[in-house]
Amino acid sequence: MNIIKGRGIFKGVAKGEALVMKQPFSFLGGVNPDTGIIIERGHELEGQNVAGKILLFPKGKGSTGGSYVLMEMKHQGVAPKAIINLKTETIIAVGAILAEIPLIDQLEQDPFQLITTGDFLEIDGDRIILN
Amino acid sequence: MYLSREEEMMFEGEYGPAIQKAMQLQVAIGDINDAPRMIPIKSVHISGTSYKEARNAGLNFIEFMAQNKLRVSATTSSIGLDLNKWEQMNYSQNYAEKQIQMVQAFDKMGAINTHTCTPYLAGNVPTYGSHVAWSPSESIIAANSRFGARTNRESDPSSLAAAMCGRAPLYGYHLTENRAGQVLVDLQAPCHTIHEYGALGYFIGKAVGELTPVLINMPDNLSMEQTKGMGAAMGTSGAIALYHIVGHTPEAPSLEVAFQNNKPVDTLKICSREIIDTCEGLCSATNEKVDLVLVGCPHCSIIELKEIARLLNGQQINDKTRFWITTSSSQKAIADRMGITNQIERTGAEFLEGACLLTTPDETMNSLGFETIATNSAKMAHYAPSECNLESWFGSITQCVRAAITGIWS
Repeated sequence: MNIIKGRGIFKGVAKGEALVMKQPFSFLGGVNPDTGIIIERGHELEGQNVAGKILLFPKGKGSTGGSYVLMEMKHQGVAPKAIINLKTETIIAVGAILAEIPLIDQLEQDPFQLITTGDFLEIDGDRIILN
Repeated sequence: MYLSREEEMMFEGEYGPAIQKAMQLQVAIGDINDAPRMIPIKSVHISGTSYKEARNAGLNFIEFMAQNKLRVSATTSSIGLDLNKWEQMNYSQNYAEKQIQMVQAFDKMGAINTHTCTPYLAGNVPTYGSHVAWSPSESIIAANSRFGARTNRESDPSSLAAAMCGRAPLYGYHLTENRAGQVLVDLQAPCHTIHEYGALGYFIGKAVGELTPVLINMPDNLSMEQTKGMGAAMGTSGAIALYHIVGHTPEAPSLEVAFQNNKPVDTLKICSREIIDTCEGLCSATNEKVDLVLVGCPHCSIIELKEIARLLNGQQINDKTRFWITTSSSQKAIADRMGITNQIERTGAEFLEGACLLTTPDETMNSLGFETIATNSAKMAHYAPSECNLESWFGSITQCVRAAITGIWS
């Protein structure tokens, strides 16, 4: 078991399967808020579903509309269970806080070295627990 | 972080639940960014004002916020329909009702409902050095870069929160040292049209991410329309909040001042190849038949409206193509008075006042049977496939007008 400490932006508990994106991501234009499916043209994970996943991506990009998209996804039941960023930026942070989705960043170790898609993880407040 | 007595009172709910929620959100943002305290802000441009963006979760939040009055002057961004003509435009009753509900909530809280992504063309003009909270992307870039005002990349809810409590946390672009240029961008390609500046912005955004570019060797007579297109594209492909153009933007009288005497972390040279490749990359369409032509992302200025009228020159739009022009009420009012609106509408082209294609509901776009869009906006060309289910042609205003008349992209 490996525990990685970070900074809990919205502290919560979540357990689930990781979905890893290498590139910065925008929820607006990036996902369908009704289904959680990634719709950004040419995205490495285009067509995959973020619903219920522990989503790892470096940080947000693009439209300021991403916050409401995250809130709507939570409302629709298709939000990620938790989000891990390298260093979160406002749009993702605000969305996660208002949607009450656990968000963690600034981890002591590089999460991209330790987590791959499909890995089972737990988020608890300001730490990630890997098996 | 330190809160003044007044800010504490807001945080504790003494001024009402909406102001409390706003302050709590601003404090959370401040904490994330290690802000030592709050600062009062002079103006806000609120984004996330269309029902498509806000959806039910956002509408609930906005209606909650409308329990109190905004504490600072705030204008609103584009909405998802033209309030003057939504019944004729195939919007669903449900969408229209929800959108109007949102407009009423903003009205109730005392926002100035300008319904545009170009607030600086609608009476909200920031002054040099002033602290503001603006959104969305191009407005942020405009406030920081063209006016030398200071705003962070606010999100839709935080722009509303800032207006509600009149405060923003002191971090990021509010601090002089964070406004220094970081990447030197040397333009070695001729750019003339709005679409070429859009391609330039799109390329830069992709290349520099969230860093602050300093552009050199730009033409002397840059227009607001050109930098508007460039700014919108930068905010689309990247997370840029500020750019400097040496000899042109207010914080860049010289290279040294733009960089605050720091060394660039990177240098980018942009030649014709980069512009051409970017333009081609933004064309996702394969069918040369054009269903919809869209000009005005960001909203057209009166100068662009005049140019469209000149290019149309009274020629009728193809009966299988629609030509939509999005602009703000303030610019359209001038066009109305000058007879430009009339000239343009007589050709069959249509105005969408205060609206935004990207926030027009999917069912409207689908019901109208559009498959292919032609636009001179890099931002629109990028988002059209995922946001509107349309394939894009991207080129000059001249090409767009020609496509509207012939129905074919060339």
